[in-house]
Amino acid sequence: MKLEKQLEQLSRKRDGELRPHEAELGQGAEHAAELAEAERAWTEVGELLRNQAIPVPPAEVVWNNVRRELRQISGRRPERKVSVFDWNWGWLAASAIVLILLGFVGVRLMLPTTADAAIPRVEWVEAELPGSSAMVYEDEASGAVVIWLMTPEEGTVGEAGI
Amino acid sequence: MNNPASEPSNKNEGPSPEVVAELVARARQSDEDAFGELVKLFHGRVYGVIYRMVSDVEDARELEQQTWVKAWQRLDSYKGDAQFFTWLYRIAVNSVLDHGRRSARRKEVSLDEEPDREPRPAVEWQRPDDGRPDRGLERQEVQEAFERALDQLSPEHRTALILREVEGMSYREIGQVMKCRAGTVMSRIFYARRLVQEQMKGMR
Repeated sequence: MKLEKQLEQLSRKRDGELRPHEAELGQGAEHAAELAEAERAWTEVGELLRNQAIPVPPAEVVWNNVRRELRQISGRRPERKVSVFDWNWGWLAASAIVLILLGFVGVRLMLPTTADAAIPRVEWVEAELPGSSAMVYEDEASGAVVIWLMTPEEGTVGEAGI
Repeated sequence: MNNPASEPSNKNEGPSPEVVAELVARARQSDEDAFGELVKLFHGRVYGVIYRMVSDVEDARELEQQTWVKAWQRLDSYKGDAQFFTWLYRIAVNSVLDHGRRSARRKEVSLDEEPDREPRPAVEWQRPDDGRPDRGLERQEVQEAFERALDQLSPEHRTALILREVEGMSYREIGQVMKCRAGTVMSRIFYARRLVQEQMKGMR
């Protein structure tokens, strides 16, 4: 096995990230001297990092500063952002159903009633009697359309209701 | 998994998960006192990670404060699927990496305008003194070489190494903090070790 590969395995072994079958591969490693040197050097690197003298400020001071800044910002956390996943889908569905029903009712109210729709429209009446004239009107009492036909000599000759 | 050859000291230390969960739940209800308890419980570890990443007291204090303020503001986004400190470290690490990128940009812009910051003091390596004066000099040399070596690392490599060596986090946990795969974490740590080892050759 190449030195670089063995070093990489050594690195993972130190971190507890080596799989068992890899551990077997690593046994009887070549380049023992280089691996021992790396092991020693990396141990020292870890010690140097862990043994750094760190001037940690007192926790109480840190918290006081944090609290002051929080209160300066606004005292409270920002309002929770509403995510689509936070919606109450039950209420949303109920609202949608109500809106659809209201829409149906509205359309229904705007449409003409059955009675209105049944009233025939008379646009034109033609009589074959010379000099006659026709009068068309809607009788308010019955709602029927009345057609009067008048002749010069005989007066009204016919009346039809629809 | 094999047992790690050198188990970092901070692993498994700290408050119980139940205590943390209760404090987090209360803090999410805007309980400032509970949040204050969390700050006090995790402050040392958070500050330690940040300080090791930036090696500057003022920057570390400022970045830690930013971390806690962001944590308070984002508590609702903590779902409890990861450990609280993993979630917290993610905020801290992102704050530090953002700070590094801003600083790098500022440095690029003002390279000719502003004098460089005072060189930071070398971080002390606390090894028990064995009474030999030549040891002190040797230690200082090692420490300086170590500092220079760390400076050669990118923030990402340095962060991965710190989270592993100091915090004892697994590759998976580090990946959660740094938003990358465990394989990437593995290669960053390996590269960081190799580079520091190379830079410190001849110091022992």
